[in-house]
Amino acid sequence: MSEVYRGRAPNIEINKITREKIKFTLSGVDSSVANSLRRVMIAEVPTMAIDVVHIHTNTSSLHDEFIAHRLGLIPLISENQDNYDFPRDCKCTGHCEHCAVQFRLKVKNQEGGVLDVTSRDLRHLSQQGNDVRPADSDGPILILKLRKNQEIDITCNARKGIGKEHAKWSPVATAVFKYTPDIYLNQQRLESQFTAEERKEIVNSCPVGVYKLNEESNIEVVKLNKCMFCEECMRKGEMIITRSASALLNVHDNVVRVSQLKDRFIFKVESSGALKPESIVSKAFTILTKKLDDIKQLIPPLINTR
Amino acid sequence: MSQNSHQEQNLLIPAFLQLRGLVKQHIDSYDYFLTTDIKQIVSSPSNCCVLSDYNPDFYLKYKDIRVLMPSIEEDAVISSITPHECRLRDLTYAAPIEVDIEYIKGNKIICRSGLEIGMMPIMLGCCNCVLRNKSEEELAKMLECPYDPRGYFIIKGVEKVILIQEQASKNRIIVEIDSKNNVVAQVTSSTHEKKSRTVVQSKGSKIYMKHNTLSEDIPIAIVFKALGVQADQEIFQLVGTQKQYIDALGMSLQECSILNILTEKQALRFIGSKIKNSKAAKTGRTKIEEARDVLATVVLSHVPCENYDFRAKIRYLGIMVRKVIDAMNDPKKVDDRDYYGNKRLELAGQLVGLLFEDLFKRFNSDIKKHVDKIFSKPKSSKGEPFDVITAMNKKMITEGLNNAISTGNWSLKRFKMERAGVTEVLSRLSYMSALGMMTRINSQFEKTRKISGPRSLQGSQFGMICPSDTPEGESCGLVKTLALTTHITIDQPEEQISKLAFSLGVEDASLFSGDELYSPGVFRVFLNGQPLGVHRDADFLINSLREIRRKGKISEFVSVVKVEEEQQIHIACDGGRLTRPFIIIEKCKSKVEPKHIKELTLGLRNFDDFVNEGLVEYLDVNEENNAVIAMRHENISEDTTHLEIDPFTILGCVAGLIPYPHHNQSPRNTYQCAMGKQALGIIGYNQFLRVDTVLYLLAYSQTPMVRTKTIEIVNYDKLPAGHNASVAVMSYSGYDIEDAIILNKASSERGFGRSLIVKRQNSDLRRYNNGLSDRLVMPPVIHGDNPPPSIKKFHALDKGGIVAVGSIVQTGDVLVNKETPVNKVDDIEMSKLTDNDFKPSFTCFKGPNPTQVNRLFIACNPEEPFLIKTVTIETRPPELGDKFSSRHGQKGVVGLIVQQEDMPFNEQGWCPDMIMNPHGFPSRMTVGKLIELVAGKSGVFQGKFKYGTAFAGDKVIDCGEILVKNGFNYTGKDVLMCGTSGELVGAYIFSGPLYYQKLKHMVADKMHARAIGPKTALTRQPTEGRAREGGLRLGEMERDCLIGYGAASLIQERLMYSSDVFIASVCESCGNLGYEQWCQFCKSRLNIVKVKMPYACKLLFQELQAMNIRPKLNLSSS
Repeated sequence: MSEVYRGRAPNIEINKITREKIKFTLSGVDSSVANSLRRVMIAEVPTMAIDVVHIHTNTSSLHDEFIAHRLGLIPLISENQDNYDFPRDCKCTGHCEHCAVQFRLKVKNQEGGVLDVTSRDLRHLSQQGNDVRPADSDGPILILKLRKNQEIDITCNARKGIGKEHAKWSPVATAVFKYTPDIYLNQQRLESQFTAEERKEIVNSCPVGVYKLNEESNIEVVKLNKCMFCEECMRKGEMIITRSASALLNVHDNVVRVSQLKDRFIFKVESSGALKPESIVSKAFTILTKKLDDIKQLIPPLINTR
Repeated sequence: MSQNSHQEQNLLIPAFLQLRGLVKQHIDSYDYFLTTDIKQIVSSPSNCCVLSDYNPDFYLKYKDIRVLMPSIEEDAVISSITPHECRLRDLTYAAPIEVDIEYIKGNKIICRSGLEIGMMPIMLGCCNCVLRNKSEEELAKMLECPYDPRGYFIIKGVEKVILIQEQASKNRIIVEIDSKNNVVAQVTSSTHEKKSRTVVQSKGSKIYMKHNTLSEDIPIAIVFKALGVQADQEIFQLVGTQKQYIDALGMSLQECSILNILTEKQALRFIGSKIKNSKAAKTGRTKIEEARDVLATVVLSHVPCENYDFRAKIRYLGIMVRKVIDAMNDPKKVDDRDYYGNKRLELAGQLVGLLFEDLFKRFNSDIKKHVDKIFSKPKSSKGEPFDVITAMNKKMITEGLNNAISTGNWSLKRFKMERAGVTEVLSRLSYMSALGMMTRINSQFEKTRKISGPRSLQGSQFGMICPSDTPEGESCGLVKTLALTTHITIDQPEEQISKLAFSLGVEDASLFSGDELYSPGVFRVFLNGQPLGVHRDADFLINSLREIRRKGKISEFVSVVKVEEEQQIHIACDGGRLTRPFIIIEKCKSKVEPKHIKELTLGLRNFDDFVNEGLVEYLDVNEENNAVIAMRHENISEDTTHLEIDPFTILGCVAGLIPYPHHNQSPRNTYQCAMGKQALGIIGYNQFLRVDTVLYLLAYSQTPMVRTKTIEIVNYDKLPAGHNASVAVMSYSGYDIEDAIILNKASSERGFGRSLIVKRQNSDLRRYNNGLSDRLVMPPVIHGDNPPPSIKKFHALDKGGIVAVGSIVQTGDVLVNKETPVNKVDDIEMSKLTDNDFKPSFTCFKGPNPTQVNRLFIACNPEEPFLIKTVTIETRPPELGDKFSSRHGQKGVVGLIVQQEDMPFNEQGWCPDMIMNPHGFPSRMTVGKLIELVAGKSGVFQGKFKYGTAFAGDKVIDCGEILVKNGFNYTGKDVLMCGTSGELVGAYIFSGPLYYQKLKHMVADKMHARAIGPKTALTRQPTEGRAREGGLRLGEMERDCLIGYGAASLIQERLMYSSDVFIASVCESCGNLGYEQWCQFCKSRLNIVKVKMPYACKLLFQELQAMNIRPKLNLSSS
């Protein structure tokens, strides 16, 4: 409790950024804040995705709705999604350049064999919106396959949306945090009441290898962040105490204790490819603050003026 | 031998099934029918020729018969057809039957070969099918799925299966105790010509013979005397000369002398006087002759009897009597009715054979009738001499066969057989349901009888019949499924076997009187239930016969059984016995050695080689009793004669899908067997080319993470039905009680549980007798954005009047804008036809959701000149209330669909597709499901499929080790965080992949409500049922509640005002119902009053009046 009164300084520490992944540590906040951030990243950061599909010709083996569903799930690079309106906010009827990017998929297999139709075959209908394109830097995304003389001709509109509406608009593959583990080792008792063999047992009990025996054959925490709170070490410690004579000492206090630091969160965000991982995080913060701002607007003016 | 090579022996099973396919029994039996049986039928003396009663010179003789390859004749052009074309065009997959005949025309002998007498439906995959021995590419060209089981027929575009029929075996003596505690030995004789039942029965201390043609029971001694056994001593010798037989027979012999029947003639006269429906008077024969005839042809008709040589029959009867006496003295000798060795399975070939013979006889008798009619008239010398070919009606055989297969009614006049439900439409709900149907056994036993015997699992069924796969409810245990390696035998000629037996030292029974048959130490040898003779060295005979069989000199399906306690040897080569293969063990060593298996894997050897070289042999249910079979290698002991190929083969193909079934509570496996057939999945590689009425498919079906060997053998891995769902076993929100499951919305949006419903609607343009036909009409033009519904329903039509491919249709939208002529009978001049001569009869779309038209088929066939099939595909993501099930009989409906962000998650980013409530486990005891999860989870991290094969499979310990190695908890539990709060979930959650099936029961097909709607014409009450947009019934119990509560007005409102209120005119003076203010009884309108009553009440009064009961209404004002 005292911590809360003292007031904390929230802090973000970036651990790692790659093209598709970001890892950072958010500290000095409660789980509510961390979870809000996670939820916003999954469900409320807008991206572009194919939403309306017009099928002109389809002689492939898959039927229209099947293809439409597959098209929808292709991640589109949406860094500039701010330039587009949500279809519901746009003044146009149908679609316009402010709310939609149009693609055309027109392929015919004339050569024979099996032709893969991939996201690379999606062409923009107009110059505008070239910044929105399939995120296939890791290789083309297969849409369907065509046999000889099979043909497909589709126009489709990519529109802006959020993951809450449909999972295809979610910018993340995974967005999770974990609590920072806090491992307490009663070294004094471990040394006095445990044999080296028993200490080794505790070390080996951990499935992820958090512990190591150092030169003095004492337990040492080496990979703290690997800990996944399985409590195997605690159980092992307890087991050794109960089976050894030390149980007679009537000491119930455990020698190993794993707990969580309740204000330090290690985040891991993997992008679907639609947005850079760092922009997912920053956009999530923007959206979160905007949400709070929107609520603030609702405060009656009387209180507002005070 | 190393442990490893023991494991490899089960490679034999894929080899076995690769060679046979799962439906080999059907195909084998039909092959036998087409190649052998049909020729035997036609060449049998009673069928092979037609004679005339009026012209002694005339004859028609069948010399040969053949069935060709399937074809169809259209516009006088004969072209070959493929099965898929038949499915699409509603044709019958049939081939012409050709005969070679020789007959008299005028006074010349004419030979004709290749004369067609009808069309024979062809079983897919049989020797006359175009699909036989085709490669995958060739099958693909014929639009056929390579994994389709085949073994069914296509009649008018519908796939029909002739189910395997289970029966008590024919021509075998069965000893039973009847309801009056008498011992009964009965035998059902069945030959091509006749079918009859003969019973030898004890009644008190006497023994009688009973037969359907005889009005009362005949004392057994009289029967013996009538058959020509004069001396009492001879009778004793035929039955047995030991004390117990003499004692038991004494009273029966005495009866003979009481009735003063001492000679053959007296006995025959006695029997002759007891014959039912005697024709003696008509034919002018004496009773003695008639009795002799009955004894020769009807009684024990399967025992050969030429020129009234009754010796074989006498011996047979002696054996029957002996069995009765044995059973009277020792109740253990009574046969078990449910013992599977006494059962025979009838297959398509035999059933079609019976039908064909019946039709062929009728065909011939029709010819004979026609011929007699011609020859009975005085001959006209002019014109062409009569040609018998004109008397042949090709349609009779064709239609007879088609009708029987398409309706399933097998009515055979000569056997007085009337059987319904022999065939069923092949269920294409899923690949497994089709496969399950092909291996299903239908019992002839009545479903309504409440005896448990035939329903319960019999010890002798072990390994032959799947212990899990049977339906629940009324047909539980009566409908069975074949186990994986079961083979059903087909008939083999007896002559070769009997010759062999004689040359191996069997002494012919006909050389003996009775006594020698029963001398101690001598074994009586039977071939297919018929006494063949005796042999003094039973073991020599049995061992040599088995040796010859293993050498492949006689059929591998011949069984040789020694029954020690009866001093009998039974040799069987008849059809319909269940057999399965075993590895032969000699001197504690398996004859199948690692080198053989190596050759098998290299493809140098197939399963037949194993059989032909005597490494593996087939045993039938009876011969299993003579074998000591080790389950596994380590069980082999000195006595062992055989080794099971693999224990998991005791299960059938449907039960084989369950991973770790040996860890489950038994009924759970049975439930899964029922549900596995309802799971949506991939039906075949040609699923999008098919035009079934309804086809349920799964959009992204996955092969199961935890497999079994059966799955790979039956190709379920290639045509799977389900998803590997990430499941968290925890409670969530309370919408998961009572087996409900929670679904992740994002998962379902990404394709989880997404099903496709392919529906077909037919519409045909008919041609009528007056030359008019239905016509297609251009739809009305639709103006504006908001046309009235009567016009809007035409929106999806093309100008041709047929729906446009690609358009979206809803319930009520017109698919085919058809018009029918008003007058279908009278001749109308075409030019005078106007639009008024036609009335609209369009086909409308029916379905819960807007659906896309995917394909159109326009075809014709000989019966329908213009056939339009509209195929629509609906995509259905899972919704609240859809039914899902794991492979362990654990079904549940979707109780809540949750946003991904609200789902619990682990620190690696995993989040479940599905949450299952842990309360599903304790009472169900489906431990197999827990193991499947752990195995599946370990397999994911290892990148390998895991195996949960029955009685084998990957061990939980090993799977746990893999989990730990990959940084997971040993028991498969995870630390999860709550999706809504971000807090740690207060327990470790058991989570991982489980194979989940989506079942066909979907809310969209079932949900129903109505405000006002249609009423039935008769009672004016709301209709019933969803299909008729019916009302929801306020039933008796609901009514009782309202009465109890006292809500009288509510009852009246529900039961009358909102249902069938009617204002009746009632005459106050006479109490009768009137009509329109007029009382017909009083001829007055003075005392008529209006009374509100339910229409059903008024109807009741009128119906009572029609029965001369006058209900009188006494009215009083309230």
